[in-house]
Amino acid sequence: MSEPLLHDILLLYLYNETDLSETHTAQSAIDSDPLIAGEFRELAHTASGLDRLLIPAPKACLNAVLNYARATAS
Amino acid sequence: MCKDKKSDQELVSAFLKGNEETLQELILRHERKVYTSIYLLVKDRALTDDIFQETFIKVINTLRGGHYNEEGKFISWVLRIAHNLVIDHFRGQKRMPMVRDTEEYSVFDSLHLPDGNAEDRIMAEQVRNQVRRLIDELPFEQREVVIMRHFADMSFKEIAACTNVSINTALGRMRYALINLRKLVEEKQLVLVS
Repeated sequence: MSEPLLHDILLLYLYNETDLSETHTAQSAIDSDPLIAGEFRELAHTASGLDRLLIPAPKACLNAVLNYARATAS
Repeated sequence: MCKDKKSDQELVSAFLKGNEETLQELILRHERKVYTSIYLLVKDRALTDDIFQETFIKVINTLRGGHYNEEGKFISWVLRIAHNLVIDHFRGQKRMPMVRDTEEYSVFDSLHLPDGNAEDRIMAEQVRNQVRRLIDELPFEQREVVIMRHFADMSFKEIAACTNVSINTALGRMRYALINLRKLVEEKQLVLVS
């Protein structure tokens, strides 16, 4: 399998977007190649860190939206 | 007693049938993802506030007008609206936001921190600041795909359609984004706790 295609499948696998055949391809590559397994672990580790960032909207901004929702209610 | 959490789709359906309260619940459920996504793209607090409000006004008007298409996830639809407003804004200015230094990003001072002891909160704050600064250093296209996948819960297929590129290009951008983030973590000798 060409390298770019495998990289795409590994990324889809990381984000749970593979079909059965792609899942098998990704898991086989990870199980059989320590380099790929290492790269996959690093990508997964970095991706998991991204989910820690969430900023709340300022209260005034949120209230403006909620007020608009109330004002336009029939 | 704990009530079962309704899905977005159930809330939208209830709203369309006349239950006004569900609209507020939808807004409050997703405000952080929407605000974070806009802020990471535009990097300007006042502009983020404007686009955030404009996004939800569009959402409310579309729902009230009965034009909401129920295909796909609600949050992805909202984030697509926000994304289009960001793009429209920068098209008008004919430039994308530049990566600037971080001192003015005081919005992060108002981050809601989880309950826990002081040490946990300081740690959580440090991690958020690290992650935000790292994302800021990515090129726009990479930042865009990171935001769409991680905050808008969009699939790569949806991201490709939304950004008018092939799915391979969207995947390539995400891969380079993760590799670049990893490099930045190493260069800055940070510890990205997962």
